[in-house]
Amino acid sequence: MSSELPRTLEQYRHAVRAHELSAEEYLGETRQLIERGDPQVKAFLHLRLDAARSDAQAADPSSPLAGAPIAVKDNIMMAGERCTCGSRILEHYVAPYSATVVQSLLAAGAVVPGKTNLDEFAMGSSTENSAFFPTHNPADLSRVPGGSSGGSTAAVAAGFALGAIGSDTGGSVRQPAAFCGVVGFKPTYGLVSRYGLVAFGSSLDCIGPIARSVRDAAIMMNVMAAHDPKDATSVKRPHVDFEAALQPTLAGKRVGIIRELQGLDVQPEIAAAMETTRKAAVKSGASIVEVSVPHILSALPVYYIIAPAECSANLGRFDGVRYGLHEDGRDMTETYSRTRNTGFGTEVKRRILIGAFVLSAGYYDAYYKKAASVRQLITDELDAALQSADVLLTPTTPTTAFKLGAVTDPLEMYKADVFTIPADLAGAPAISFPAGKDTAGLPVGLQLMGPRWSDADVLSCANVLFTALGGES
Amino acid sequence: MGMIIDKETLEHVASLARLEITPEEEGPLLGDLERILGYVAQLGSVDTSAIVRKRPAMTELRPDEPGEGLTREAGLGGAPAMRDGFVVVRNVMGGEDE
Repeated sequence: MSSELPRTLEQYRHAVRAHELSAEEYLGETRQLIERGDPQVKAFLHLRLDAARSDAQAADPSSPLAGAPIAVKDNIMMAGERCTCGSRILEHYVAPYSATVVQSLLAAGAVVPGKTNLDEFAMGSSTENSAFFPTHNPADLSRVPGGSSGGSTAAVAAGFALGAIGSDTGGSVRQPAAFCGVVGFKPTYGLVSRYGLVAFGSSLDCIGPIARSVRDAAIMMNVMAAHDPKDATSVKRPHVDFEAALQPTLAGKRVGIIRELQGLDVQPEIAAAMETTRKAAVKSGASIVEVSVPHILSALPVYYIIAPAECSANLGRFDGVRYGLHEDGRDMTETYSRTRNTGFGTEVKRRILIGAFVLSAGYYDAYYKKAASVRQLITDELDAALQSADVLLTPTTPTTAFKLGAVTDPLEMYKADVFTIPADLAGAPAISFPAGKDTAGLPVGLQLMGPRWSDADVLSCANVLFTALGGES
Repeated sequence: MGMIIDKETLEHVASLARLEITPEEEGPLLGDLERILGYVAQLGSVDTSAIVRKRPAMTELRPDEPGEGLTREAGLGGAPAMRDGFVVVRNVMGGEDE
C-alpha cells in the first residue's frame, strides 16, 4: 500500500484501479481510525465492520465505488440492520428491506461500515436530539457537528468513511456539512428515490450525498440519481453524468447574491468568506448579479408550520402495534399514547404537537393554508430570481459550529436553518461546500442553489469555487 | 395579543396526536409552543391573496401488477406482538381481551 492514504473517493478509486490499494486494506485503515476516534466523535449508532470486511473482499475494483466505505444515516434502511432513527421508539427495529439508494450504492461497490447518528427522526440542527448520545464535531470535540445528519458528516470529516448519505428536509445535509468542513448536496426533489427513508416531511425530504470533495459528491450522485417505480415522487429524467458535467471554469455563469439576505447577522468570518468566494467566482469567469427574493425571510416560519404538520401525520404510524416500542395501556388509545409518550423525545413531541395544532379545525386556514401559500410565493420568487442568475450564493449557516449544550432554546436552534430552508421549500438543488475556517479554526461553509433540475450545473459551479478556494479537485 | 395556545387547547391537541403530556412537561411545552406559534404567526402579515398554489407535478403510479415484495413474515416482523400471521392488539370493541 502507498504510504499516503487517499483523501477523496476519486483518489481512492484511482488507487484501487491502479492496484496500489485494495478495498480490504483501505477498510482495515478505516477500521483503525474508527476504533481509535469514534469513542470520542460518536458518529455511529451501529457498526458492521466484520460484515463490511467481507463486502470489501468481494468488492469489484472496476465498479463505480470500488469497495469504498460509505456510511448511512440511521433513518435510511439497510436490510438486516437496525434502523433506529435516533429514537427510543425504534431502538430495536430491524429493517426488513434496503432503501433503493442503499441498494444502488451496494450494487455500485460501496461498503457500509455502519449506520450514523442523527437528531431523532431527523428533527434538529445539532444531533443533540438523538435519543442515544450526541455526536461531537471532529474539528473540535467540544462542539456539535450540526444536524440532523451530524453522524454522517462527522464520519466523513473524521475519515471513518469516504462518503456518506444523509437526508435533508430543512438543511440536514448541508448545515452539518458546513459545520464539519465537508461537502453536502441536496438534490432536486424527485431526483433521488426516497424508498426506504423513514418519512419526516414528505413534501420536503430528500436524500443526498456527503463527501470530501464536490467531485466525490458528483460520483455518488451518478450512483444515487435514478427513477424508482417504488417512489411515486421520483421523476423520470434523461440520464446525466454528473462527474463528466463538471466544468473547469465559471465562464458565462451569473452568480446571484440575494439582496434580502444582506442585512442578516452572520459571523464576520462567514461574511469574509462570502467576499473571498465572490472574488474567486469573478476570477473564474463569472459575473455577480444582485437578485431579489422579497419574501425569503418568511421561509423559516413557513417551514416550521409545514414540516411539523407533515411530521405529525407521518409519525402517526408509530403506534406500538406495527413496529417498535410497545407500552401497554388499559385500551388501545392508552396504549398508543403511552407508547408514543415513552418512545418520542422532547423535540419530536414538540413538533408533533405544533403539527397537530396547525392542522386542527379552527387553525388550519390561519397556519397551514397560509404557510402553503407563502411557500408558493417564495418558490415563485426564487424561480424569478433564477431567471437572472444561474446559481445563488449564500452562507450555509449564520455561525460556525456551536458548543454542545450552548443552544437550548428550540426557536434559536430553528434559526440556524435560515439559509438552507428556501431550497427545501422550492424543491431546488443546493450544495454546501467548505470555504475556509474561522479564527477558532472551525470550518465555514457556503451554499450554492440553482433552479430545479440544474443539479449538474450546481455541482459544477460548486466544484470550481471549492477548488479555487483550495479544495481537492 | 392574547395567548395562542392554552392548557385546554394543548390537551385537546395532545389527545388528537395520541400523546400523553405529563404535568411536569405541560408548563415548559406551553411556553415553547406559545413562542414558536407566535413566531410563525408573522406569516399573517404576508399578502397571499394573489397567490395561485400550483399542484405538485403529477406523480406517476406504477401498474397495479403483482410482483416481488416483502413476505408477510418480513412485513410483520417488526410488530411487538404477533399471532398466526396477524398483529395482536387490545380489544377495540369493548369487552375482555382474549
